[in-house]
Amino acid sequence: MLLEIKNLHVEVGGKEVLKGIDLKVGSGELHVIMGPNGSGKTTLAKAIVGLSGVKVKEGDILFDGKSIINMSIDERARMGIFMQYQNPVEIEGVSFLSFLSTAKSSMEGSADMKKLMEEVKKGIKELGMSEEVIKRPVNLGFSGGEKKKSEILQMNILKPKIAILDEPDSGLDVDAVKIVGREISKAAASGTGCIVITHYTRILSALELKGNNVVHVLYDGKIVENGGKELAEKIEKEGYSILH
Amino acid sequence: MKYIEIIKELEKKIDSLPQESDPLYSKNIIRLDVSGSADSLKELSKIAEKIGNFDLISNGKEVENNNKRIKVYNLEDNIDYKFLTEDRNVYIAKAKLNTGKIMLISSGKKEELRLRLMLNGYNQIIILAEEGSKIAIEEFFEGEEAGIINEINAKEGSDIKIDIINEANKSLSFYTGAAGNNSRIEINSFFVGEAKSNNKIICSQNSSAHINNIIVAQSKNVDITDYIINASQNAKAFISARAIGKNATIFIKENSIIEKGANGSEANIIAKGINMGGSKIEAIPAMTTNENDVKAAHSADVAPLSNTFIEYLMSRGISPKDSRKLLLKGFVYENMNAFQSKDLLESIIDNHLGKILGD
Repeated sequence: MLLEIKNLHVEVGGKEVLKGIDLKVGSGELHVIMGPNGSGKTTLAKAIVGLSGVKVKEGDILFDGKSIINMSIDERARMGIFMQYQNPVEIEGVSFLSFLSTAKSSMEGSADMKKLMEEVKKGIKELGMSEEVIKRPVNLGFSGGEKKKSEILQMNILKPKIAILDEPDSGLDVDAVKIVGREISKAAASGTGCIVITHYTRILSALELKGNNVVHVLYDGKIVENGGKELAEKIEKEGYSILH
Repeated sequence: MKYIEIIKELEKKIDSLPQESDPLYSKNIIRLDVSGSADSLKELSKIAEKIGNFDLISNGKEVENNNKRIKVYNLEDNIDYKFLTEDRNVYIAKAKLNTGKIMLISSGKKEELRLRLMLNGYNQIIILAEEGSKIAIEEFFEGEEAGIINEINAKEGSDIKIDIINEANKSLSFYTGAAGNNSRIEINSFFVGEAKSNNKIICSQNSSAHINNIIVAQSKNVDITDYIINASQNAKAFISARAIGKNATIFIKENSIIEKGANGSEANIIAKGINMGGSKIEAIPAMTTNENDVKAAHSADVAPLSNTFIEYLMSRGISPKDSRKLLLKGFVYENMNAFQSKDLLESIIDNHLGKILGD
């Protein structure tokens, strides 16, 4: 199993936010985690990636069979863990290309600039972005939609083993949701394990969800329901009140 | 030694330099008069003869060699500085000085003078761009101690750009400039050592002045004060200072004064600092506006490097040290981009950031 989360308890600011999460994601699998505001979805993403502010109190996160909870963020990233941020930071003075080439060299030891440029241009075209972003500082002055697409572009270039996508659909128009959904499905089809975190079901129609245990509902720090696409449709129809 | 004493000391050293009446004067002055249409080498040969203490290089080969200490290159033969335009005569020179006076005069329209100076000790530079001409200078300070006074005069329609890459251990620098109507003066400075710098530019009608500072200081005291005075209509003033300090004391005082009658003027000040630990950084923008019809803005902030930003880069596999370096280089990038030799400066900054980050 690529990613295995076992009885994960996590505190944020001294308060227990995740209260025993179990989740398994294999290569090429596409999972969706849904849940109301404050249920712990982003905390789960941060715990997997290793961001500060979240403290693992109990349980473990295994990646390729190895515990990663004591590893630094960059070590996890170099192992193949990627997170698409809900609100990515804007970095002045660092061009998108320079940032990507530094990331690529960190991951692979070196970056073939010509090949990277080709990949970036191709990715930009597929995502319907402007080539201007190559020269612009990372996320600086990007619209909400451009930021989301820029994150997806990074995922496509860095080709992680697992990608955690934190609300990839928020702030996107209908067409952009379809494009982002398509790119996530493509990443999964090419072998990346994907975890999509969302409040809404609108991106689900753009995702190719397979199986009966790929939609997980997080509520009050616990996964309370698992199912297939029909579970998401039920939530869409009846809301999270079904969980009470 | 107190600041005022240091200034007096500097002035004394400057005063003790050979004066015009002194026979030694010619040996300490490079006068590059780039007027006329004579080809650059011929023109420079004449100057070399006049000064008598010159290295002259043509096609990369030395043609004069009598106790020379100053080298002049013919632009077209020096690939590194190749700069050809359709309608400008371009002259380029390299000089290495250890305490001296230099006069740079570009006196013809459509003339362009480019000069790279390696400076040690105490020097005075007088720069005069006559109407419509252009001067671009790079000043490199090195060694234990450096002091410089620049007097800058940009006449109507001229353009003067000075880049200062200051790696001297201790330095004092004073730049005073007058920007004539429709002219432009730009001063870009990089400081890494103990430094005290004072720039003052007065802008006439439709002229603009730009001051960019980059400070990368570890365990040093750096004190920068800049003034741009918009003295007439539609004058524009831009000041940007970015400081990175570790165990350093850095004062950045950026001032804009818009005088009465300077309507249509613009002034913009940015003063920012990143504290990499143990530093005291003060970024103080001050604006005085004595006219109503103006645009004036300032911003300042000093903070440590944001952990959120570092973590974002780390989440893309970049090590903590490389993440910090990338962010710090990004922080100074815009100011660095204003320098003529930005690639060289980038490598210098890279080296100093490496020291701050513990390479």
